[in-house]
Amino acid sequence: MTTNEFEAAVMEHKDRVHNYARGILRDPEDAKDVAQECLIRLWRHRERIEAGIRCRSWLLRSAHNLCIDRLRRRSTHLEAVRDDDAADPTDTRPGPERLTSSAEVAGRLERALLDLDPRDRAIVLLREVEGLAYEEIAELLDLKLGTLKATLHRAREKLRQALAAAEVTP
Amino acid sequence: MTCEELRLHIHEALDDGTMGALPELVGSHLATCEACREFKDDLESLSRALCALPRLPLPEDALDAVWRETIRARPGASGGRAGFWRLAAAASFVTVLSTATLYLVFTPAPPPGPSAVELARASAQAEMVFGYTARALAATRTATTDRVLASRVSPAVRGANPHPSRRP
Repeated sequence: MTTNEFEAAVMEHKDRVHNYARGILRDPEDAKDVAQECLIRLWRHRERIEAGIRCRSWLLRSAHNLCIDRLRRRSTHLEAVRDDDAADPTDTRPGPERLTSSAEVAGRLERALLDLDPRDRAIVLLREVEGLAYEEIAELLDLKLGTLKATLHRAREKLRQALAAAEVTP
Repeated sequence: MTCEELRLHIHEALDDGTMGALPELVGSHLATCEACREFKDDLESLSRALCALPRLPLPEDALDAVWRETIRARPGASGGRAGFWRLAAAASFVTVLSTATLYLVFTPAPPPGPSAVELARASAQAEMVFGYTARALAATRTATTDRVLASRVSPAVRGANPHPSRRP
């Protein structure tokens, strides 16, 4: 990958990597750091990375690994955040029956995503949000195709149930 | 077809993007099962909502940091392997140049050659040696010639020897 190709790849994938990290980590600062680190790593490994699809896969895999590392490091903190979200008595957000706008639906959906296992969340984001092919996701996450599909179906069902429990129709 | 089988069909249709062309068997089940119809609608809505999740651009300060750490980094670090070889070539050139300069500056000057007087004296001595040698060779030749002639020349001729003092 030449310097020009690197610049083009950064401009093409920077937001994708950032949003993926944000989807997994749910922390804007961490997501920004991960995206930044991924792009810098791409520069360091550019001699053995081709531009195009392989570059996108490489970046997302790198982002995924960095996110998982961060989640492991702050797993205790993450649990605390989840607990706070679930039972914050000072939460003044509207109840499920008033969730009508798309922003509110998106908020609930993001919270439901956070309740998924990180790997399940990664699969949902890569497939439903980033629109990657199953084969690419399977390679990226080192999963068998059957396992990947079954996990995605289960994750969808969990999201559907979570939103139904909150009386939200996506 | 059970509800569970149908839901698997729905998932697969969603995966393959064939929700608009469900098999007739699935369609007939959906027509009679409200729960499965709701399931299908929920999944389709969920998929749309996930696609519509807000996407935030990478903040400018992070992008600036990326450029700073990569293509705008110091030249020696930005060229990769080519940069390394350029640096190595420059280092070699500087080393060779320094070595040559040091050699020229600190190497002692060669000793001075013989002076004109010494050359003249040596030349005279050589001429003298050659002169002695030539004279000795000439004397040897003369003596040898006389000896040979003495044994071959008749006594009459020998009497007419213009050099009576010489003996054969």
